[in-house]
Amino acid sequence: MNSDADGVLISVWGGDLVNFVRQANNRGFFDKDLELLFTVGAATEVLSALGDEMPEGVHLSTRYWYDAYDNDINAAFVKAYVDAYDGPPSYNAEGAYAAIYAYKKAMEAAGTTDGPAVAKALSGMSMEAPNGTVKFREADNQAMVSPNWGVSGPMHPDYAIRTLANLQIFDGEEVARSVEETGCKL
Amino acid sequence: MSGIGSALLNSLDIGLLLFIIAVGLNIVFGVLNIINFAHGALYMLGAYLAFTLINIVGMPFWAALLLAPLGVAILAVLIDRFLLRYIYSRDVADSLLLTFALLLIINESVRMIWGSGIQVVQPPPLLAGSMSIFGSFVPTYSLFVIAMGLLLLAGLWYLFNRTRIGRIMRAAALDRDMAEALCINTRLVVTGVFAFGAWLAAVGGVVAAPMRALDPGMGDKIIIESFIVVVIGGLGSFPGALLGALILGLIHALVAVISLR
Repeated sequence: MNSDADGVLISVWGGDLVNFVRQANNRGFFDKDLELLFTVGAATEVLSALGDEMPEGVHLSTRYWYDAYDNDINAAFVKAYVDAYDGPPSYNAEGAYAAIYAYKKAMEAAGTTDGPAVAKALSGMSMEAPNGTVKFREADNQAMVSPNWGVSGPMHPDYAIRTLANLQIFDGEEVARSVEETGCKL
Repeated sequence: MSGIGSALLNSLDIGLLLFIIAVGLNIVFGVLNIINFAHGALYMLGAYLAFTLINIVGMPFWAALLLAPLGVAILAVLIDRFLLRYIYSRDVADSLLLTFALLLIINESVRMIWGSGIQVVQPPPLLAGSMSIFGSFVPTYSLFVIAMGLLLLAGLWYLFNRTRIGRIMRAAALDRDMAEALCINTRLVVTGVFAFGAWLAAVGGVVAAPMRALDPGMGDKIIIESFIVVVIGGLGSFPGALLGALILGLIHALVAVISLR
């Protein structure tokens, strides 16, 4: 805390992140004038556990933020989720939801539920998910998902979590490391 | 913040919390010859019961500290009476299997009852915030954890070395048949020791709740650390559990400081 750093990149997540923020509050970490970036900070599980203990004005990121996407699939998904669980879906919930539809599409394309055939259909497949178009890169089978960044703002009146202002969506295919860089060989 | 001083203090609160939990595991093994895989799950139950009592029922923290471990101890009596007693005379591997099944059942029950999200318990007003010791900020709650650990350490030492109950427990651990021959009701001792071990785990859970986020994986995390403590200190050894816990706490706290330099 005595270092003269301009900012801190914080990559802890889940329960560890909840612990980190609460302990940091306790020690006055957020009173310092630091530029803070939380790479997995916009997980709604973490935000609902922390409530207003998550400070305002810090950069939070996630693979999926529930009101970052203006499309029919997302609108239907968020509405169904809020109706069922009284809170907005996290990136984990979105991933689970999208994965089922990915399997569905791959099974329909393969015309069978046979594992290897479905796996082959998934490779290189594109699909529409709550967070826009997701493509499974052929060379390493990674799903190209676009990260969302925003700055924490006032508390949401219904969900008791921080809202995100200045939302930005970075194109997953552009920001992901290329296959050459990762050195992945299937 | 002066790094080393606060890191040492930090290591004490991690270490003593681990001691509270690992010593319960050790006592159960010493007397029952059972390696209780579900010990971490009982710790988690203590934390979640405290969460319910404090955040939902609205009780003060201190009432939860009293009631939650008691609830877990009662559950432990039922587990002993209906499940464990059938495997006491069998191989240790059977107890591993059975308590591992218990761990899975408790984990999934927690998920069903409390959900898989992250929950937070606030420390009592008396222990909220932090205070300045030797020029470094120390969360007041850490000092409470250290005090609780030392209190339980002293209490356990007294129990085992200076009381009749402690002698009976040690006798049952050393030679159960002989203890039986001397008119000690070892069945009662066994049930009591298992409930006591569960009580210790749950006390650890309640004490941990305000400083660690609650999620259904917290029990698995702590059981791994408890096993490390027990391996360092020796299975069944009381001073070993203390030493192992302090060493692990020290590693936790110091590696974070050293790796930054």
